[in-house]
Amino acid sequence: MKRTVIRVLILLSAGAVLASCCPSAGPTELGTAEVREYEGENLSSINDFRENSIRGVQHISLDDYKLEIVGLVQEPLSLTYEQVLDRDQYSKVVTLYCVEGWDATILWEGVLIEDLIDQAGVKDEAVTVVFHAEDGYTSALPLDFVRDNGILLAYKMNDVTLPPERGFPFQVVAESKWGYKWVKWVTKIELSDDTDYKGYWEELGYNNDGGIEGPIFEK
Amino acid sequence: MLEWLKSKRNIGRIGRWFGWAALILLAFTLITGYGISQFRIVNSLTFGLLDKVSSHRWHHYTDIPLIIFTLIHVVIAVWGRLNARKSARKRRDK
Repeated sequence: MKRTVIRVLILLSAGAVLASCCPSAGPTELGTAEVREYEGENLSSINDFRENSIRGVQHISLDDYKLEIVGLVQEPLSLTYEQVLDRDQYSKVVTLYCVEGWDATILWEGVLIEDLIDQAGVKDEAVTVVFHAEDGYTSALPLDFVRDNGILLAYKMNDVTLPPERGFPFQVVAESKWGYKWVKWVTKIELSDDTDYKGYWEELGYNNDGGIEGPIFEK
Repeated sequence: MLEWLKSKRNIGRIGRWFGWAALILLAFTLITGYGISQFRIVNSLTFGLLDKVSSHRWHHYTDIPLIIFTLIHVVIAVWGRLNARKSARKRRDK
């Protein structure tokens, strides 16, 4: 009896290990369009990411897409995709570190979040920038951090427009923060005076600061 | 207690207990590991008991005990086998 139980458990464990090794139905291969080297630095592929969003891939149509900038601003904005892109554009190589243990170094291209919120006019009381995604996911970054580090709202990665799997139309490039701060499918940027605003995963226990040098969990 | 531990049979029993504990921990480590990467599936299968963050926490807590339990199990099993071989050789020599 015991031997049978052990055999069953060993078989189940082996099955689980094998299942984890098998390729799963991931995002569609994008072919060779993407850049894989930038200024001598090897880049990861767009396909090196794992799908770990809270409600699966979101497919956003640009026909009815609007990026809202609301909260503690002088003039709330509602921008189309083209209006968001109609400003200075920047690119930089940043590595995303996921709490799951994997990472990806990508050439990101986007606009400064600082430029977007300054267009709306940030009120003095605002200290936190909250990002809302299409699927209801949220996360936040301190306003000073966003300004001091030139945090991008990316629309391209490795010179390819973000595919839906990677957060089309926009993803936050929260460099030096864990991946759960890199909000995909951004639909709303909210300025808040809540210094302790907790996003989706932060509410469940991940560290609210989200710095890759700091602890993963909130105490 | 020490007397009880002097018995080879009891030490073998302890080894088996640690083996079972290691096996249960291994299963739990696998489930919590999947709870981190496949959190949507595990969360629904465990009726919301294991979300990504709690899986991640438990996964951190289980790895060291799993190594210790497995080591104890293996050491006792090897020690038992060597002893059995030694006893068999002694019996043969007699």
